[in-house]
Amino acid sequence: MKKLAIAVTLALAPFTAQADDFLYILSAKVHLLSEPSFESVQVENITKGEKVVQIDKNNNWFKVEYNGKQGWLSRLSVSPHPPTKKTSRLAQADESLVNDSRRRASVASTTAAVRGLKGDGRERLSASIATDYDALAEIERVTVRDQEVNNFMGELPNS
Amino acid sequence: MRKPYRINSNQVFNDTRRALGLTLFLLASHGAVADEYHYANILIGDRPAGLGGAYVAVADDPAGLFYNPAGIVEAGRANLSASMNAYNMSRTEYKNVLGGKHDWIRTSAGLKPNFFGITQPLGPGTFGISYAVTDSIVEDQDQTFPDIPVAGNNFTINYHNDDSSYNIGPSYAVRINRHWSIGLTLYGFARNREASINQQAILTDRREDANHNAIDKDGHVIALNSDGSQTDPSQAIIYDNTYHWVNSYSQFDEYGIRPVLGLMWSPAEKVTLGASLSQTMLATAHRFQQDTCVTTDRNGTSEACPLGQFAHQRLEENYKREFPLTANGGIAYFPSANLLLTSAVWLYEPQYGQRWPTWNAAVGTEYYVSPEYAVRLGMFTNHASTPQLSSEMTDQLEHIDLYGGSFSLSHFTRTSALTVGAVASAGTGKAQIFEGTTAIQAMRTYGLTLFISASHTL
Amino acid sequence: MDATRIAAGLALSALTCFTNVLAQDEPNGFRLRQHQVSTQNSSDEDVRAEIEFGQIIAARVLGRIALQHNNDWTTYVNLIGRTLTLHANRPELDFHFAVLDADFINAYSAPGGYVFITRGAIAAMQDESELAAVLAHEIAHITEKHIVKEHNIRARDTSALSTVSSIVGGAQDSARLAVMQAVDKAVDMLLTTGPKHEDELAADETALLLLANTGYDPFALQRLLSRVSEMDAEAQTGGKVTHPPTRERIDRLAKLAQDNRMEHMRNYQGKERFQTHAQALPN
Repeated sequence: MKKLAIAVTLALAPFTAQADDFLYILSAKVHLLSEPSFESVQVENITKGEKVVQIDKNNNWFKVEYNGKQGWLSRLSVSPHPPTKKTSRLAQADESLVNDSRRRASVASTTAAVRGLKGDGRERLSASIATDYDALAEIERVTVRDQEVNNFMGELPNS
Repeated sequence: MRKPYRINSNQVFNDTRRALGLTLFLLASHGAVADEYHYANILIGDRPAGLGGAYVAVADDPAGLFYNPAGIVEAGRANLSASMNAYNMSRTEYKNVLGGKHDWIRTSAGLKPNFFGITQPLGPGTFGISYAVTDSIVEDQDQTFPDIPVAGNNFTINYHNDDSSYNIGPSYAVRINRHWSIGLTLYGFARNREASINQQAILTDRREDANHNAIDKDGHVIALNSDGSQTDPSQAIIYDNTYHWVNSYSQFDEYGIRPVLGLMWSPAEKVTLGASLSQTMLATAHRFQQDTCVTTDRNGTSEACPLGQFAHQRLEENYKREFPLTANGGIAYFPSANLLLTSAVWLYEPQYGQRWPTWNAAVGTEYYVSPEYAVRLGMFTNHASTPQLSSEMTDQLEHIDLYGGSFSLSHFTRTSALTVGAVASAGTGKAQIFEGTTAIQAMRTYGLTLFISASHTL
Repeated sequence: MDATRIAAGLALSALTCFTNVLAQDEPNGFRLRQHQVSTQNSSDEDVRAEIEFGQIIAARVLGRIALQHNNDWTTYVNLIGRTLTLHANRPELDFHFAVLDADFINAYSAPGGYVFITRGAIAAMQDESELAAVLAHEIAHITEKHIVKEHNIRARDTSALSTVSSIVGGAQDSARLAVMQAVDKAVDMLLTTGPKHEDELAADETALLLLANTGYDPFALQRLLSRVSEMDAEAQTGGKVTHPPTRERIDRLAKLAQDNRMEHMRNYQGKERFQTHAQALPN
């Protein structure tokens, strides 16, 4: 069976040939590393939105080429699709949302859609639970300025 | 069991002309195209129908519930539903049935939703429910033949036959490991057939005595010369009409189960092998039949009709019917996200005294012209489960092998797919319509199904 | 010639097997047809649908557990969270972090970018990297789209073709909903841990990478889980003491750190900065 699979795969190899695979940087700032390891040497800095060519994949790392240089990027920082701008949300988060979301939510709430830290301790929310959209609005109002974040990040080694 | 409605005419009438006339009754109720002598009469499911039915190694959407339930573990985490509506048309011709003349033609057409299925992840595996119409025919025949070979004869037939078989039931499948999955569908099976035949024949016969000598209006024997002309021209040969009328109604109801056990194996990337085993097992099979007939003779009185002593016969009985164990196996190859190649083979336990198991095969391909459009092409066989006819035997079942092709086009949106397609099949074979003779008629069948189907994901 | 062909065949076959092993999250991803691959991309509408869905979940969490109103901590948690998300791959989302007024140790995330952590959880922590670890785990659920994938949250298709499809398909919605609801009840009764357990382990791995990518000490999650499970063990009175899943997670985290060559990393722990804020938090 294996031989047949090999023969068939070889015969249809042309079908499986792929063109250049591009990856886009999604993280704000990314370091191109010499090895697939966080402890290796930084080869280059790449900013968000830049396009790189994928050469290889190894577990959680991509080997890519950028500006003539080769190196490794964590898979968390990249995606095959370019970054989209921030998605606007409904101006008012209230109970009268689209029916579909509500219907799906009632499904989800009975099957523990909420992910907790302790995997087993999932909270099972029943359909009769109260909701607090005021608190939600309060959370959404909280903003931190980019400058604040940059100052905050300054203490970390990777910046 | 759908058997031809046969009368052994030799038992009743010595007159061969009359026998010929009555044999028309035989034709009227002959088995129709969608029958139990073939196993691939309807291709179930929108994607499989376009692929010629070669789906056992693919089976990764609701249609998979029918072919190989093990495949639905690949249906994804979404909740899917799919359904199919088909318009079936077919035409069968029996050539030169009567004395070198008269092709007998039987046609049928019908629209039926023939598949519906839902899959949903449940627990460690995937759950599904599906409904399939595995065989369906609605046929009508309303004809008058004024010019059958025996002079003066006239034959009218009204025939209606509605015969459908259904599967409905749940399925469940689990992944055994990365490469293997197993699934089971437990269908309930139902088959309902209702047929009614109304036949009338007017036979014109020369008036004769018990020794088959022509007699005149007074009952005197008319002497004939060797060339058949009358020696005494004043004696007139008389022709009388006799009227034969038969009305028959039958109803068959069968209920049982049809489990389908499926296995799916992916030995290497992009290659899958699938296998399934199924068999219909009846719990009850019930037949009800009512026949009424009357014959009027030249005196205007009624005789007992050819059926026997009963002018009215009512039959109600339970019967047995065996279905073959069916094994279906196939290979699918997924070289890219745009292309799929699939093949399948079926083996059926022998039936009807056939020594070898009947087999069928199919191949199919699916190609994505763009992310929104895909085309499918398929080819398949639909072999007869009856033995080949021998020119030395009598009372044989018809044997016709059919071959077909299929095509479909799908359009995809983010959450749904709409498919239109067609399945065509044709074949030539042999039939033995007349009981008690070795005469064989050639036959041809053409079938065309047009279908439209949709699938939806939440 | 034959030997070369055989060797090529074997190499291809070996590569196939290797590729099989690598395809961790989609064991039979080769089955995906072109239209399914394309619709795996999220459009703006899909993200909006995800956010709407997440808002309902978040509102329900808040309806059950009150919000902790402390500006200092809310800002601190949001700064850490934002720092993490800058090194993740969902720049189209606005993440919101909040502290819940509860004594027990737990954290939650809802699709669209809503992350909650309890006051009790913060009280069990000793430095900023541990807080970052918990937030990273919750962020991972969102960036990996666990719930979106499980419930197939996406924008509804209101095109004419879709309407025709649903008509052709017959009365699908009612039948499908009936099945879904029945299944949900069944799932509740079965108490399965199946794929959701996998989601937890996947989020752990992503959190590890996210911490390292950002510059936080990747061992913080392991540390915290160990401490929390010890605390739970002490709280138990006889009977079942072990939480096998927690043990499994800790062991797996250790192995992941090894596989990703992180064993010698220490990075930022932020003890002082954490302690500064900790004093301000009421008990």
